[in-house]
Amino acid sequence: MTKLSTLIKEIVEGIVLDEEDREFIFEALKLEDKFGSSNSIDLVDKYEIMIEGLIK
Amino acid sequence: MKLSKITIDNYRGFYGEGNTIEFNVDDSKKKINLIIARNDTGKTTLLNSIYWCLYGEEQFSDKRSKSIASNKKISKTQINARLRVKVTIVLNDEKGPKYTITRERTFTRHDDAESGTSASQCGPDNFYGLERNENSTGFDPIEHLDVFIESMIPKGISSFFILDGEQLKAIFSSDINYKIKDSIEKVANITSLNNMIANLKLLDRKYSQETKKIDPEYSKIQSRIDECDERIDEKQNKLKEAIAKTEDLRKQLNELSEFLIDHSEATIRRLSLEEERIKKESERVNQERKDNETELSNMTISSYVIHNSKDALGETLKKFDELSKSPDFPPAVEPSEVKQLLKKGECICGTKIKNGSDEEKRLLRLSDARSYKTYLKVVSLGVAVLPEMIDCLESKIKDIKNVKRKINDCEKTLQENEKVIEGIAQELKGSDKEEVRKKREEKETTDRDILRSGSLIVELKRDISDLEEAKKECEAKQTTEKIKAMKNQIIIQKSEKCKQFIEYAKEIKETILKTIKDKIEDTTAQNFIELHWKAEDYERVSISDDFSLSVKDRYEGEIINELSQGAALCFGLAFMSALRNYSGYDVPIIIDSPVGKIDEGNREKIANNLPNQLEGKQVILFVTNAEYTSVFKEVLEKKIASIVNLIYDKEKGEVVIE
Repeated sequence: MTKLSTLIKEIVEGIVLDEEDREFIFEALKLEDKFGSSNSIDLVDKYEIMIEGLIK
Repeated sequence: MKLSKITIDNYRGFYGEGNTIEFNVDDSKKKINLIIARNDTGKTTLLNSIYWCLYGEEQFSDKRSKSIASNKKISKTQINARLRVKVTIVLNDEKGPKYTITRERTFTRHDDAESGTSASQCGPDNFYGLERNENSTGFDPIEHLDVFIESMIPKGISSFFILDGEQLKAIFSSDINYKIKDSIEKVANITSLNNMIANLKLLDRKYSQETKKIDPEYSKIQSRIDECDERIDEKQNKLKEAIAKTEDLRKQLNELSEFLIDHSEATIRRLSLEEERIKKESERVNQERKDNETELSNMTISSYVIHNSKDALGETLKKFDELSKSPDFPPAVEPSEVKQLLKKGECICGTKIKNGSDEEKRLLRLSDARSYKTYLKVVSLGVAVLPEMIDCLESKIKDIKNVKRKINDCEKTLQENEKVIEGIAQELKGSDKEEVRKKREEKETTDRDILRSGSLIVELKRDISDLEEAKKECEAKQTTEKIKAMKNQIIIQKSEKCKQFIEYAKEIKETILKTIKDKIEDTTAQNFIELHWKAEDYERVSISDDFSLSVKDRYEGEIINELSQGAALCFGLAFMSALRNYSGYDVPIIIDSPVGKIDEGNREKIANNLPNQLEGKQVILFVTNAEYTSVFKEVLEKKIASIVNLIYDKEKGEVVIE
């Protein structure tokens, strides 16, 4: 794990207390790192699915 | 990740195919790879070829407007024939080659009268990559290679990994705050957080658009339903009352009907009607009788004289008739002749008459001319007129008799009617006609009441049906609105979650930015001290809240704009290595001319400390012979994994790799 990813992890854990919410943030960051620069991949749909998973 | 191999085909000075540079990446203690070349021999071209392979464009050349194809290759290509430029880089992990990335561009040779080396690109680049599979049994194509490259080493921060030392100091030349902030944001992965915020905002906007409009009257629907219920209850009660009342009325009607049947109501009614009819007829007949009597009276008065003269006229006529048939009736002789006969004492018939006899007297009257004529006229007239008079009189009498007969008929009818009425009265005798009449009236009233009650029931049922329909509509609307409200509730929850994540992302971003800024500030200061021999003179290196980079001397004076070229380069390297260390990207750092403007003392420090500051990552340094001094060489020697020399072969006009 790089310094940055360790730092981000620590900061996220310090700010986002709910575990599910933390997972959402990490998953979203992962998606943005991987596909954020692509115009052809709509991440909004993926976010929607993730948020639907959080609403029970 | 380490750059293990570069293969270049016909890229600018690298003529021909298969120009390969291989780096030793197996020695974990030696991370520095050197490319040594004289100026204008191909270092920047090599740097550009790596950049072009990754991003499809050059970054460091001042010849960007010209074709990247080797001039020698173009000149050797026939007019209108094609030539291909290709660069392949191989990146290794600890297990060996991990990624192979290739970019090819095809050109068509033109006939250029001036230079003779013109070629134009035909078609898009062929850009493809391979990735070692998980089992290390082979390589699979990399899908969305451009996305993959962006995730591995984003173009935006590529200048922290592939950089020209000569251009490092340019970072202080203009817009320093923006560049520092931009650089820190890039290495801090803020782009991902910004993208996350932007996407969450888009999603939140989508949720807002999905929210259904709730009818503003929604809150009143329940009260309308309650109102309908109340009115339905009220109408139901009234309906029950009306039905009960109708039942009572029907019973009452049945009782009345039974009573009237028991009391021969029909017969009484028939007899009463008959009685009424006969009475009306009697009235009419009586009136007719009166009229006839009046007519009779008038007729009697008008024919009274004639009526009284009837007998006389009959007698008269009889007399006249007798006279006319009597032998005494004188013959038709002239009185003068009668006078002659009287003188002779003779009768008309020739017989002799006596004086004073009846015959003589008659003849005397006959001899009176005037008397004779009158007599004759009267007898004739009487015989002629009297029968007519008698006929007329008899006709009148007949008329009178007819009227009398009519009067008699009327009287007879009246008497008969009286008898019938008496009979009816006799028949009705014994029944309570008044009570029956009252009951009949009562029955008629009850009938009307039942009709009214029936109408009321129909009306009430219709009202109830309308109210139930209205209630159903309200309930359906309420259900629809409830569903909408529930859906909205879910959407609102999602939207709130979205907003919450946006706030989280913003807070994370600010915190990361501040933390990284602070760390980079410290690391840059530390690196700078390690790289620059005079760094102790600089009291403080800082990055302020507005991202302005500051270097202060021991007298607290701001000297960032007064740094020498060497110091600026050291500062740039210090800042870049600090940035590089906080970025999360595992890729080699490639620096062209890292110590070009650095004096010998600083070179030693840089050679000693820069590899450490870059924390053991692969470093590829492009240096000139002038930079690669003995001191530099001595310090680096133990850290160098491989050295590649680029030599320009003047005869061949191409770069040769050794």
